[in-house]
Amino acid sequence: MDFKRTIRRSVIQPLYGDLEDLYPHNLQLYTTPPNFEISLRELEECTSQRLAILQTMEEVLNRGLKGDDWRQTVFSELRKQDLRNFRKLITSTSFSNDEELYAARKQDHISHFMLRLAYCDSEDKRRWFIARELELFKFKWHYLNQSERQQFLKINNFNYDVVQETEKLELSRNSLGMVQTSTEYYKVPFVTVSDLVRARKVYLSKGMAFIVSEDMSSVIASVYRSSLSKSLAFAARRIDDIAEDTRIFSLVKGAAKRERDVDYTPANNGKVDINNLDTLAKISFPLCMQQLHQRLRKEHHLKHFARLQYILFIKGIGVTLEDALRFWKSEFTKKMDPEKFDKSHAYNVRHSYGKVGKMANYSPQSCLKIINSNVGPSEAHGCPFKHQDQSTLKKNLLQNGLSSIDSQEVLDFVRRGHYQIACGIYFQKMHGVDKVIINHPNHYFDESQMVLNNKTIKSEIKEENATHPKKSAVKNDEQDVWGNDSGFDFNSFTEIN
Amino acid sequence: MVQFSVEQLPELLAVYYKRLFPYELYHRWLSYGQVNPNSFCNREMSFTLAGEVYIRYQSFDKIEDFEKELIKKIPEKIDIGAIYNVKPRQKRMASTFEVEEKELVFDIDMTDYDSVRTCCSDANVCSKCWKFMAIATRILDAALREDFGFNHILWVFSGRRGIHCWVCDEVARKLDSKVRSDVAEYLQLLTREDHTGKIAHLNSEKIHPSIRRALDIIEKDFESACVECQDILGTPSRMNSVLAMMEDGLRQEVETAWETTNTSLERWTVFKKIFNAQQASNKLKKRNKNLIDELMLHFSYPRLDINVTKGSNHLLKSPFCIHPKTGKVCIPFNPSAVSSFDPNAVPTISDLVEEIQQFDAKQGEAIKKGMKNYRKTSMYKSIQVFEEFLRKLEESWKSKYGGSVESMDF
Repeated sequence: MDFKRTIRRSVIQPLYGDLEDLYPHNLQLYTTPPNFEISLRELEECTSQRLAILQTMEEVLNRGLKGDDWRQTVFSELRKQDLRNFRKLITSTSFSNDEELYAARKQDHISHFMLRLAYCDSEDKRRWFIARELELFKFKWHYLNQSERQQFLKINNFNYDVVQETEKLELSRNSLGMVQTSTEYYKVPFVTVSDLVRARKVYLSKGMAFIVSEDMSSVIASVYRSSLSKSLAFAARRIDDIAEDTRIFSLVKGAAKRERDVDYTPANNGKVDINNLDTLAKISFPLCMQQLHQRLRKEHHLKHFARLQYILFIKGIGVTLEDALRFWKSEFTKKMDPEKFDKSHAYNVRHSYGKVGKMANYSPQSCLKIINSNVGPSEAHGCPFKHQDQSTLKKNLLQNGLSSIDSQEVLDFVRRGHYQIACGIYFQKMHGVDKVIINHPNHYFDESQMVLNNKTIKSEIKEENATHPKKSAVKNDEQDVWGNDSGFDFNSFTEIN
Repeated sequence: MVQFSVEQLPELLAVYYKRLFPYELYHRWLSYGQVNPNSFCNREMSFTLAGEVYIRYQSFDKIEDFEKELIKKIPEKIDIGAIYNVKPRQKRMASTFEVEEKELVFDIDMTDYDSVRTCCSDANVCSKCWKFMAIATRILDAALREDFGFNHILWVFSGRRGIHCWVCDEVARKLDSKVRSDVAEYLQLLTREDHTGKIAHLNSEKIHPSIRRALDIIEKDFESACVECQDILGTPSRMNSVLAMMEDGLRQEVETAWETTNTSLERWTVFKKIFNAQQASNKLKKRNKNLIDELMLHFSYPRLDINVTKGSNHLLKSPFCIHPKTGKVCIPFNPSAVSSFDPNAVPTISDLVEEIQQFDAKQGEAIKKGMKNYRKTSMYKSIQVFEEFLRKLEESWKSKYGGSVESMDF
């Protein structure tokens, strides 16, 4: 018997041929990996450019901008950066010559695959990368004209049936007029347009969705999403293969490190005294966390997603595991017997702190995650600016001391879907400062603490007796609305400094 | 009927797993015609043993192994997870451990109706509140079949206060988590309470055909199931909570008119009359334009726990396991006969054990041989529902995959 290990390695043939044939279109679905000779410098350059584009898109999104606002801001932000060819490519601006055009398409291709490697090795990274690439895809699609779009569909074999007139009549009747006889419809499997399904923007019948041509980008995006997701999972299994090549590997690792995702690394471990939580909730918590705190203190219970959102936040501000456990227990056991608490909830708290189970050190949730969470009946998590109806929100704003003009200003942004800006305005009004960008509840907290500390110092220097209006509000709340029936000594409250 | 008591559970379960659990049918279901040879053996099964000891990531190569394990461990609860790329019990040895398939599942729990049901609360269920479940079943079943084109849907009573729905079509089993979540959101119409306490919001003039169909289903039963049975306008506080959802103009007129009424139905009829009159004369505020529809949805649209639907690795209690608190069997039911389903008539494990003993005593050994024990019990009707579901399911791959599939006859 032959025990020799046969190594079967398929050698990928370099892609020969004209660039025109390889890159017939500005918009690519990146189905084949690149196989060229390329200088390391160029490789590094185009990788970091693509990363810069993706990060810009996310940053603008985190400001709460959407649709046209988002696109325009991304556009102007990209102008500020040195990304000339890339920017031209993704906005379908014409190039001065074909050579430049094809070079740009080639860099687009290569940089996409480089980032695949950089963002394949954890679920979080993969999710981040897929979301960004889809934004980029939709961004590019927007700038294509009608004939470029048709050409793209043809190249990539998106051939869907146009619904015939007779069928359309029947559909129109069954859909109660949602399908209009005057418009052209395509018939596609519902899985390819699940975004539209989710938003109830399409008519569904027997597993088929009926979409208009403008919605075709959703179809392509979902095909792209699923192929990308599969490719990333595949890359994750094979990533070790490239570890041998230190030049590429260090480049890839470098790109992954520059991920400026919404991650928040707590700076002040163990700094926050649990006894100050009620006060801090009043003066330094963003509205989303303040409400969770109040809910927990009032109802002595939070549902799953609310627990998660809140515990990670207080972990982030520097509440120790021991304190968090004590706090959780004292609240929950007002309604639940301690044994049950120890069995299920204590585990969850430890889990969130990364002390049991998977031992993963979960980061506090970002605004984006909170805004995008789904809030069902009687759930308390989420972003109040998004998930709360406006009259309740207004009431809460007024209760927290905003004037009705100020709260109107906040609500105006809410109405336009700019939740993070609304939160930023709320911060400004609460702290009497200018311009703040909020993209993470824990940043809100840190920022707030910084502002308040500065104020304390200043007022000490000036020996002013006039207290800040928000601070005097805190003192009144010391006889807290919950009554002092908790296991904590809330009288040990000291001024935060 | 024999009284079920929790103390006897271990003894009863031992008999149940030995003689009554429908292993063969169960295996026919979970092996899905061996189209994918790993369907059964890569499936996560999880047990809850006495004393709330959970064992996750169990898996079995053969149904006989599963049977042996049940008889040996006597779990109080069995949960079904997903089909993975490797055998779940060997997951530590595998370099990757990923979900490959999972039925699309839905979970509706009666306690989520506590804010609108007036007959019972918490874990209790009566024939009155079951009407909520009947409406929910009809709406969800229609949406899954008509909108999504699913055909193989198994409806199961959870044994106490809820229902589970298993969509077993191949397309459904292979949905990725993104699409799962989108489908769940499409069906999850209700939102968080607004300041008036209302959880249904129809903001646009045009109502999606799927919601319109739900409304048609609700409308048929609303007055008897909700207005009368739940007496939703029967007390001042119940009236106030509905009045709070109205804008001033509407509320004042309705409030005055209600002063001379006595029953929920009268009040509902009066309200509808005023609402329609105000609508005809264009007096309604925009926020109230769809109030009648919204109220019907608020009270009776299915309240789904969609996190169960979204997570493809989420566990769901298995059909035919015994609810450890009530002793009732978790049995399949026919969605088109959901109105006549009575949760309180569902046999308990004590009933079943008693029934086979009586049967055995009456009949001689000769007849007993070769006859499935569950045929002798009141569980048989729901077994027939399950068999019918399996028959249709098996037809689907026989027509699709022809003779290449291993014969399913036992």
